Amino acid sequence: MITPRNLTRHEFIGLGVRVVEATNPALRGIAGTVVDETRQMIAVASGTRVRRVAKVACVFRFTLPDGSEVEVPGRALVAPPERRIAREKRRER
Amino acid sequence: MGRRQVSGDARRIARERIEILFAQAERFSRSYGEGSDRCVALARRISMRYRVRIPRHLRRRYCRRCGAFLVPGVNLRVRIHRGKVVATCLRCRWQRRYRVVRRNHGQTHDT
Repeated sequence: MITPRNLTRHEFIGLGVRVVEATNPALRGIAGTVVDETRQMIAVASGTRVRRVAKVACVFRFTLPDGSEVEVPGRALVAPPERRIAREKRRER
Repeated sequence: MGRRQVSGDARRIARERIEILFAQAERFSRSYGEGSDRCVALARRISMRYRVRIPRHLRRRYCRRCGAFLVPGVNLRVRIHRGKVVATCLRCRWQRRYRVVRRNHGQTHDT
């Protein structure tokens, strides 16, 4: 089960996201479904395109399968997808 | 050298993520095929890193050699030959043979 607590360690592909804050204003407001993830980027299917957004530069709002919404600073997500499961140290900021 | 310790919690999440990735692979297979293969690659990486087995019904849904997500009738040929199930990946022609197990004797063959 994906919960707000374990979201940063769980799977993003398939979740709904919205970019709520970004250093590049053009990225703000991108919303859609996550289709891929790499160490630095999240690929969002938004409308007819797939947009790749850098994790570091954004704050994301994820919609969990149960409908709840969680806001996460992208900085905390910079790691290869399979590495996020076990993170020794919490990287905030 | 002992085995690297992986916490039970991490392995639980790993198991859940593998399930999710295969479910998404299934969804992508209709529209965005590369996405399916990508999901398989991610799931395999997770399984290897956290030493979690991919459940049998999912293990038979991808090609071990080329990593393709296999959809029977599309890129997977399933034939019975001399009492064995021969599953051929139509992308790389890799063949996997499965023994046919008696019905209701543990898990039977799926896909």
